[in-house]
Amino acid sequence: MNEPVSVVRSDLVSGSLPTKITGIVFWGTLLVGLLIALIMLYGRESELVSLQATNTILLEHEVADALRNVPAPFLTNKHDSLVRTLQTLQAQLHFEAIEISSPGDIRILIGKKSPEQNAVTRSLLIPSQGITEPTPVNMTVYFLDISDTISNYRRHVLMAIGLMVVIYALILQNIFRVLLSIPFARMVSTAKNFAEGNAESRFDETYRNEFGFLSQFIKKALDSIAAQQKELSEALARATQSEAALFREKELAEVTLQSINEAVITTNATGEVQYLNPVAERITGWGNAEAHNLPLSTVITIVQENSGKQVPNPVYECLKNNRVVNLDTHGSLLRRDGESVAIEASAAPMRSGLGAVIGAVMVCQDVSQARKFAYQLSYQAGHDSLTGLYNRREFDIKLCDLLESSKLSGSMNILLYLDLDQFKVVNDTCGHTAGDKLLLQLSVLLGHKVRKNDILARLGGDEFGVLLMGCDIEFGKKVANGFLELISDFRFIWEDKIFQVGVSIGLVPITASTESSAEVMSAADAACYAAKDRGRNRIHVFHGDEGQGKKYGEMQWVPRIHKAMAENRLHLYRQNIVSLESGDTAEHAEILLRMESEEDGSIIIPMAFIPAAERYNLMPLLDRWVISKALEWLEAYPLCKNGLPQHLAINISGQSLGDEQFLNYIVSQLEQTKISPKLICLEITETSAIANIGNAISLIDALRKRGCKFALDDFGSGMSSYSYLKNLNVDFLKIDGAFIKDMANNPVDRAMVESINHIGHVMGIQTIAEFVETEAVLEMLREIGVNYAQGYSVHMPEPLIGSEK
Amino acid sequence: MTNRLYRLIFGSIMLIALYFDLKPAVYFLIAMMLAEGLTNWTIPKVIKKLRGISPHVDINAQSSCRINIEAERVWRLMIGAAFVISYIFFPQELWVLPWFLAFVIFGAGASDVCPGLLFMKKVGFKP
Repeated sequence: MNEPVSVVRSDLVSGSLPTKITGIVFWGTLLVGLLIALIMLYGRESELVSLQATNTILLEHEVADALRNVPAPFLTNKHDSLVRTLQTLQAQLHFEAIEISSPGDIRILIGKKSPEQNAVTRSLLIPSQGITEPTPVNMTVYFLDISDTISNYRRHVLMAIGLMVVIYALILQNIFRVLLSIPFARMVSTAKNFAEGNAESRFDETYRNEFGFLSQFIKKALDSIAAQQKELSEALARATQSEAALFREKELAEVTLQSINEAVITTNATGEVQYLNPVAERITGWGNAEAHNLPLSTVITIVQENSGKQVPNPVYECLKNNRVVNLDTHGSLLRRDGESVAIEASAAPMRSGLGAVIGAVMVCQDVSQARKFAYQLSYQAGHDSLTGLYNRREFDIKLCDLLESSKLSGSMNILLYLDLDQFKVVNDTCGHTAGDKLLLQLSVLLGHKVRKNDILARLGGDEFGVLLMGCDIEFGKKVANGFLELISDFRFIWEDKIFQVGVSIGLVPITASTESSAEVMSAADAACYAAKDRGRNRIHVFHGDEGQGKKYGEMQWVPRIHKAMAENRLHLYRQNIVSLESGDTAEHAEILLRMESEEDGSIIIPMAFIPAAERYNLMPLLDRWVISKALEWLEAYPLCKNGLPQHLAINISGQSLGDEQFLNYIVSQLEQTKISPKLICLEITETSAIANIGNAISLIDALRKRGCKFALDDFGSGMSSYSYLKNLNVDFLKIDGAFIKDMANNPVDRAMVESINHIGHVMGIQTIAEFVETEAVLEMLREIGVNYAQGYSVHMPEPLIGSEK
Repeated sequence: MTNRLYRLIFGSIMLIALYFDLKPAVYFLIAMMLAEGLTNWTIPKVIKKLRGISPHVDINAQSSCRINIEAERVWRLMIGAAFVISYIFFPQELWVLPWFLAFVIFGAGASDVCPGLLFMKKVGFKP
């Protein structure tokens, strides 16, 4: 950029103003001077020629006058006066010589003649005295050669004028050089320096003339330019910095847009796509270059996720109303290839500095996974993970909806509350996996029995609920009977075992007068409880007269048990176990648990609340309470006899067997109370022992080493094989009461009792018969050889002394 | 010796010779100028060479010229020719030209501006 400027300046300098000034002043003056000299010479030369001619004429007259006064012959007489006259004229008229000749070859020569002289001859007719005819006379005048004169004159004049003019021109040139050329050259030099980048170069301001003024002016202008240049440089630096910062910001923004995990689409004010970031390209299937300037509706189509109906793009509303717009519905974006992607989107306007809308930015997030998870969570929140049926929460919601619907329409609906019977047996004997399998199979079967619009849900462990829409009680009964038959006919096979389960069904009508879902569920629970109470495997239609004591379902027992423990309304009873050999009636007794009713103080049998305690995992708590109280009793009444037992048999639930801390608890209680472990016999049911065989063996071995005895309770009820007996190191076998009650009339039962008794004895285990309620049975047991008997015919349960109410 | 000094001295001697009508001197000067022009051995150049000073050559200026002959050389030839024509062949008719040329040469030396030479350079001869 600087090179052309320097060339221009160089040309300017070489244009050489001093040269021009010199050319004009010096050479102009010289030429004019020479011209003047030439003009002067020309005039002088003309004057010389003219003077010579004039002098010749004058001389001619003077000579003629002189000759007239001379008598003839002129040149012979009196010529002395003529000579003097001619000599006088020679001095006056500046001629070199004069020769006068007359007829007769008489000559008079005045002066000295030479060939170089310029001769002028004139013929004169002179009248003579006494002669009538004039005498012809020739006069020749000799002047100096005029060319030499002129030549000399030229040399003198030219040299004089030439030198004067040259000197004058040189002086003039020098004056101009001092006044113009030098300041101008300095200014040019300064300008050249300035142009070459020396910004400090300034003109000389010391001149007291126009150059000084011009220098000051230019200096101010340069200072101003320098200041402006400085400002411009600073502004440029700032602009450069700003540009760099903007570039960094732009890069950062672009990198951010490239990096973020959300699709960003920008449009102009007319809704034409301007930019897609990589995520947007991936989601839409459009490339950034392809989509550029295309209408947004061409690139992005949003539909409702469920219906597939197209919804307006929020960008258009955003551009129209100049505000942020969110996509409210659960929308899906249709990709270019037609595939839909679940998105959440919002559009925000882009405004200029004046606030005008210049476009919009749409941010989309691919929420396919989140929506899938949300759907899964929603499904899991409303469905049972095992069976896939609705869970209790969802069932409650559906029930509430149904209640509102019933109130509005006045229609009747039916709720069936199903509680499986003998499910616990499967669970305890074959484990939870088997129980889960049973529930899964039953849920599938039940699902086939309900209509499409009916609701089937699993409400708890082995509880199901069914909402029958728009039907009466008869239809409900029909469906319930179908369930009964289905479950009765169903056989659950697990490994080598076959189970048959039953179901107790509570039926509750839902009408417009039904108050709440809690009321319906409570009624269903009570009806189901009533069905169980009436012998299980049946249907009970709720009428509202199920009784105060029975209206509580198992759920309600949980707080009641806690409250009874807190209010000390649990009591220990004993039932003596009589030796059929020695007849000792007080040596051995089983501890039984009773609850005192909160309402009327009556005694509640354990069958009322133990199932609930088992279902809601309260058994470890109750077991600990019983052990603690029993040991306290033994500590208070050591070595009891005379009607009081010496050994106490305490039942341990299956849940406590599964509790790894339970062993430590018993040991600590024994150590704390200093009770001899030999006085304690722990009873575990056959089914719970088999279900927790590992823990049972560990517990039995650990406590037997300390001296505790063990009894296997309800032996024969669990359909277990005798092989378990080899692993369970117990002291007593308590034959299940189901075999004892009817053994007097049922030979099979008797045979079973004999078999169990025999096996026990063979293994060195003493046997105890439960549910001995008649003397006949007692006698029969003696015959068989059973060691101990327990039942109403032997001893009615009674409170422990000191523990009774 | 610079060309300026050469012109100053040459013009002075020529003016003296013309003033005193020293014809041999005038002839000598004319012959010398023509010899310089013909041989291109100008006196300033010879003196510089004798003094061991290398002649300044403006390569840029020379490269931009159109005619590959030095302006000084042409100037000497033309001035010499003008002297021959005016002083030898037509002294009566062109008596003023030798004087004019002498003054011009002297003035060029004194002012350091030679219009003839500038004209030559303008025409395209080498500087």
